[in-house]
Amino acid sequence: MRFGFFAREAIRALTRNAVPSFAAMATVLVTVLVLGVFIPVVQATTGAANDVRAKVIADVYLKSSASERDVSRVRHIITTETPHVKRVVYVSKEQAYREESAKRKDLYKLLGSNPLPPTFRVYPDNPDNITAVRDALSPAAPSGGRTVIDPAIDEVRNRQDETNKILTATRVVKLTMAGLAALLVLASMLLIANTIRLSLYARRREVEVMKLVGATDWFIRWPFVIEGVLVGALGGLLAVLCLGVVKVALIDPLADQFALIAAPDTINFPLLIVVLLAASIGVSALGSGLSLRRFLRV
Amino acid sequence: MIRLLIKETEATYGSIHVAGRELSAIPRNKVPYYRRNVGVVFQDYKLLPNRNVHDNVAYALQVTGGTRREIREKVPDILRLTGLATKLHSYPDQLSGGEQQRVSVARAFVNHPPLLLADEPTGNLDPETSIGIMQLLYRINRTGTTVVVATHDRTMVDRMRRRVIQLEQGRVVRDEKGAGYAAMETTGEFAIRMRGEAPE
Repeated sequence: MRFGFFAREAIRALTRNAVPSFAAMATVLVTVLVLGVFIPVVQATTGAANDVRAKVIADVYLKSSASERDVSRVRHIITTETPHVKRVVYVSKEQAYREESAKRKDLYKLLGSNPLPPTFRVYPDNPDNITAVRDALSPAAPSGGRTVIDPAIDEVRNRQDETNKILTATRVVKLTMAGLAALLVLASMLLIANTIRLSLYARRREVEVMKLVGATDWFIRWPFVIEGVLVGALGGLLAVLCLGVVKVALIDPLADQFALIAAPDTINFPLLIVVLLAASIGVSALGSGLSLRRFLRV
Repeated sequence: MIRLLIKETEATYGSIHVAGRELSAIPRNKVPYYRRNVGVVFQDYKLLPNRNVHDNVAYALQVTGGTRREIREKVPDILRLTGLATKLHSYPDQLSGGEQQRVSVARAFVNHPPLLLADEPTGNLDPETSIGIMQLLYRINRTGTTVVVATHDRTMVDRMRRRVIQLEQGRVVRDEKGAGYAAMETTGEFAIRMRGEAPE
């Protein structure tokens, strides 16, 4: 009986100021859509970044003139005397040439000779230890620059720079998305607050009468809270429907063809739906609360 | 003054006692329950324009947690008492001022509160309709409810011959016990006297 009364009052109010309700609903819809795209995308980029981090290696370039003995000596140094090394792969001059020329055929054909040095690819036990590995193999020289611990080593390079670039890029993506989402959440909250404020204004006589005949404060407030939550839930529901349609129509068929879209460890869809609906309801309840606090003195 | 009595505004000084209770001592969250024991009628009726007569009266029960059954029992009763039984489905703007005031009285009295406050209930009405409203209030009074009527209408006050408290500039200047009226007057006799037709 009581809940029915509240719900009836809320729906009555919704239909009466349909335009602001619609605006608020549309904002919630957009917000939830963005959130719905944002959460899996961030997860995918984070996953990708972690993949890159896992691939961090140090390349130990030997001098082109390095002999067999030099190679085995350096291998010994790396495997036994260097800390934090998990695995070492030796790429000979010829191997390196084959790999690289496969990637850029024309360029290497033009070159005619093999400029590539033999290389050790050193995998650290933990991506964070890559600098330790590098420092061990090529300590910083007192005069600045770097020396090498073996005369056969030409240069030690890690791919930290590239990794950093990728990490920065994902961080920028994440921050932009988070900023956008925060703004949209704020906008939907304020628009719902506005809807409720208008509803309060439209129903001020009713509120007055309610107070007069002795309705409790929460009895007066509930219909407005329900109205706000209804707006939010409706927007959220529509957005989830849109996401569902897009997922079924676009992403699922493509997932077989692109490994990227079936990205590692993204949130599963039902959980995403629950999260999004909860978020939209939470946001709208907050919006209603905001208006009630400011404009409904009971 | 009526606002003070329903604790919508607080007294700046002094204290207000209603039925032995100090109003400023009632905590905020208990105010609604206090208001349920006080019916209020205003000069401008304060009816909800988008609800019909029945729903306007039922609203008072709904928002105080009345059950459907209570509404079914009490609302037709009170509408009969106020003479609105035939206007059940009319909306306030289809009613005359007197009828609207009757609805307002019905809404205030549907809970049968022990105290009924009326703030210029006849302020917007012509004399004949006013008498009808006063007659209704008299009828309610006879059921044992204390009725407080605030009004500027001196002739009406004099003809009522009830306890009169006159305020001037916020001070009590006159407080006389009603004298010389038959305690068990019928509403018909009451009306005649109010019209000033009865021999003094």
